[in-house]
Amino acid sequence: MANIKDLKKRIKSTKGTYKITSAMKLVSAAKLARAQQRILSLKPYSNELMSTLKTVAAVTSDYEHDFFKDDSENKHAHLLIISSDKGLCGGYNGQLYKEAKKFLAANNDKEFKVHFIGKKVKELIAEEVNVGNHYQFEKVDPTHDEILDIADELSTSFETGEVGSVHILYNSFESAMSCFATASQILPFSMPEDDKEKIKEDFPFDFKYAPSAEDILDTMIPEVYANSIYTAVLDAIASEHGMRMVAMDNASSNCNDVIKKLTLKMNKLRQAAITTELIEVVSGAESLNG
Amino acid sequence: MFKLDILTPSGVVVKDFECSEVLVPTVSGEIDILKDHTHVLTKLSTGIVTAIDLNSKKWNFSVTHGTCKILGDRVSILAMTSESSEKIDIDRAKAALEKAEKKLAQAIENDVELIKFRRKKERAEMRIKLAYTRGE
Repeated sequence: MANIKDLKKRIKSTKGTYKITSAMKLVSAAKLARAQQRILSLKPYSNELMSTLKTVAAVTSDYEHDFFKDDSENKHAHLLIISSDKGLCGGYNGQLYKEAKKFLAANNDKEFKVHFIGKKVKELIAEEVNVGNHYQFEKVDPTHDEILDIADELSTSFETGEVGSVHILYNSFESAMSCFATASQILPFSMPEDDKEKIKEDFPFDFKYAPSAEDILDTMIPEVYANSIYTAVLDAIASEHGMRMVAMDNASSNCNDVIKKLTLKMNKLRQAAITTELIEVVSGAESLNG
Repeated sequence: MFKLDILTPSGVVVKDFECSEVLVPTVSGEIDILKDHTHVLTKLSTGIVTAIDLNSKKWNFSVTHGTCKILGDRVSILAMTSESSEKIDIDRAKAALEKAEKKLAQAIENDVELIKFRRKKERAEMRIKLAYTRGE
């Protein structure tokens, strides 16, 4: 049976853990706010980019771009998995790993080369797949330029025909409490599937294009493509902090429970010891009187 | 009077900025936008966007690579990067220029690298130029 000294030690160490987890929770909350701010500041750009793309797409026909080519014969493909560098974030990396295995099993007719941002899922899956690059960044959070470099690298190997498609797997951000692993194909690129007539109705403007609508599409499509990766990365960062915040919140409340239980136990033991001592004193006095 | 938006992936530089005239650098030369301009969609080139507000004050913004849409009473500029001249740190820009020039002086075999550093150099030069437009 545990004695009071052991219990005291355990309470002290649990209190230490509590301090760490609650500090981590606060840090994650602050980082989450910053990550959400980044998503919010990207939104106006993305929205405007998409609406402009649709407007231009509606007036062009038979437009061809390298990103559209359907090369389903080519069995080589890239998969980019965005996970985290640090653990202690609940099921964040676990659910990515599961989804990755599911995704690879569903597409087992293709030969995937798997690239990574963040090392956690890489550590889990490295032995089962053909490992490609592991992208790292100068600071913890990648800048837009760094993501552009990755996007360029992936699209170049698609354009040269080295791979037939490029996929991305990341945790998409829903709220601070929840995120879900999402796999999506980013190349070959597909134009927004809205009806051309409908877009013309929504944007009934006769634009003058300079130099030409096709030329503008040429510059816009790589931007939209890179933007889809950038959005995914920001989403993943926000999800990570959200998940860590929740995990640390749970850990803190567990610590509290444990501290309460142990304190109760310790108090009971101390009470029992005092009672025994009292009985001894009283019975000793009794025997003297007797 | 019309409105100017400058949007980039890292944030909104200006939104609903009321101005009377805007000068935009495009691939086919600088265009001067006044009220009731025809609808235009065009490619930007790296350069400086000058907006003149209702009190005839000039505001300068750097832009790199993107598109410019003129629609109704709104000019939307979508750029990879953009900065207001008020916010430029001239020492940092000079340091970046020096670094890019040094890199370019070395033999670079990789095309991608070459383009990257040329762009960096271009950008640093433009930022320095932009910083000197302050107080005009």
